[in-house]
Amino acid sequence: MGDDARNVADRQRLTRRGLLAVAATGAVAGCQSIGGLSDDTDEQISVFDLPDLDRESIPSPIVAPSVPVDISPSHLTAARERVDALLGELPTPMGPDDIPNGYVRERLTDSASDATDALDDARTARTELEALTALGEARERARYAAAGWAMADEGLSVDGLRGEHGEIVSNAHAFWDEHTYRGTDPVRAALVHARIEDAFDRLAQMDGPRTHGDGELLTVSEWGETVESAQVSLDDARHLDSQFTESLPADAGTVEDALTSGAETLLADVRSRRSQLPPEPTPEEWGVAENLVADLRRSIERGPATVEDASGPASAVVDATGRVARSRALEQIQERIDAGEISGVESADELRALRTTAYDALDAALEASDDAALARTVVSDVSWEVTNADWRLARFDRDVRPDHLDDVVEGYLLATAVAQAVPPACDQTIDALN
Amino acid sequence: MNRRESLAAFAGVAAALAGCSGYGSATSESTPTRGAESGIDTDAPGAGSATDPELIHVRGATERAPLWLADPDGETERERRSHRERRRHSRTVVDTSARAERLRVADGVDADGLDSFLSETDLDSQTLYLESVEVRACFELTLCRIEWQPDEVSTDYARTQLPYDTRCGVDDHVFEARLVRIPASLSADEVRGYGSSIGTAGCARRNRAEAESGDSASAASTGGDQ
Repeated sequence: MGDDARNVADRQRLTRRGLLAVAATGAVAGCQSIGGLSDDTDEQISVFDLPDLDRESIPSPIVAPSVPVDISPSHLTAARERVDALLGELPTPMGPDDIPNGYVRERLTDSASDATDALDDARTARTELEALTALGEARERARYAAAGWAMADEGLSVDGLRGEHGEIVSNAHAFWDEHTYRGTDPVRAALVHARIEDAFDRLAQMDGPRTHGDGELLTVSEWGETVESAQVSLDDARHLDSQFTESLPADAGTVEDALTSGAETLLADVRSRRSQLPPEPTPEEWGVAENLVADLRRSIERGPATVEDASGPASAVVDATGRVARSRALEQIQERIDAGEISGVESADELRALRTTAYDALDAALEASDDAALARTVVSDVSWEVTNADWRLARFDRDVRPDHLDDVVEGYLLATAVAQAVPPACDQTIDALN
Repeated sequence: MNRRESLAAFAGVAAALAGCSGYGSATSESTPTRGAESGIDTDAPGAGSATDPELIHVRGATERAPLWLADPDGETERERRSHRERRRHSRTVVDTSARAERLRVADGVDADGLDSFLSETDLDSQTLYLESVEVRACFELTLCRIEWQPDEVSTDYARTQLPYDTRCGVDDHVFEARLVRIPASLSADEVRGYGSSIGTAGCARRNRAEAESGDSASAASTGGDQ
């Protein structure tokens, strides 16, 4: 699995360049942007020299998230069938005789379309966890449409859905009361239980949808989606828990104490590293270096300060591992800034090199870490930086001033630095948990 | 175009955008800002606000404003104004009987009560404010508040969905025109600034937010049958 970042980097479709070549033949006259006729022509980077990215084919995130437990095919099938059943309740096609208000009708048909797209995403998912996430989204969007239609067709009310939601939340609390942190390998246990904790936390904190400005029917739709989302969280948490338990020896004990003390150790390290940071600079001009430092500082400071502030000890461990990696990355970035090595790019070649380095760093982090599953969780998270940088890069459709690429450069540099810090951060977590 | 006029023009564009929320406008350096949305100090002499003013509301699936002020020379204002933005959002002050006589209603548009509304308006002590806004056909506007001072008028609307069983096309647009009776004497020649905002929160919430942010309710006058 270590080469998935590389595969992505190599298989970009030639879309923007192709489009520009066609456009340029007919649209050059009077257009200063194509051909770079402005005063600072020599400072511009030609769009044709930039990596040619198709936004739709940039994975989000670049490195697929995963969870070290088997997700049963029957669980995924059940979710798929649930989506099919919900979509099957809708009139096809849905026309003005079904829902006369065109705006409301469009919201429902768009939602059904989102559900279908998410089903497709699940089919092409790179990991079981990605498939599970996509199917959850498909269920939520399908329920939005189905609930709205049920309001029009059979008078479904918010009251009924609110009652259903309360029942799910009650069941979730019952599940949570019974939940124990069983495990043998504390790192693997942390990764699985963190997903369970987050699912419960998400469910417990959602007391109703925001229905600001929605009419009666779409308010019912929003409630339908909220109810389904809660049920998805509970279904998935239960499934992960039972699959994980089944994978353990019958006499496996609890690792809760190990997770709690490990999280405390890691969070103490985060606090210590943070306290050693120099005062936050207030530069007059913000460049790549200043933004990198500010972004990393923010991401280190964000998140639970103690285990009690987290969804639970397992997610505290996972979160702290990411923040330790970012703290280490900031230290490395600071050294490189002091050495004058961090700046924007002046050429497309420099940008390409930074991008390649970022992709390589993601792959290397996956391969070099002592715990592949833990590394993947942290690397997947930071690989969003590369996804975002690629998305920004894909938007350029004309020659560009080098400083306009600064945020793209920042994304690649940040991802590289954090990825390089993942192996030692993982080692630290493994030590803290054992 | 001075700064105020350009702000007012911008307000028109912003307010006409479907889905925009809470855009405030028509501030000027000389006007103390009291409210969250407009720059009008409703406590100042000659200024005031109303959250439920008397008005005539006309809604029509017309290409241009269904209620408008014709020019004195017979050329209608809406014919003369060809700029797209002007057509989508227009406003004018009616301060004299002569101007009131130039009000026109588009063919086929129901404007019941307009004549009696006009005859019951005392233009010596009251002013009519005509505002026309293009809105997506599946939505309707509710006037939450109107504020005025001698040189400026500002409105705030809530945009809500029509019921799901009301037939409308998602890409269609209609015009909503309101002729609002302002309980103060304003001069069309002096009013230079206009502002308007449209949000998705309901009027109760919008007016509560406005009252909390600016204490402007102290000068509000209310009444009428919207």
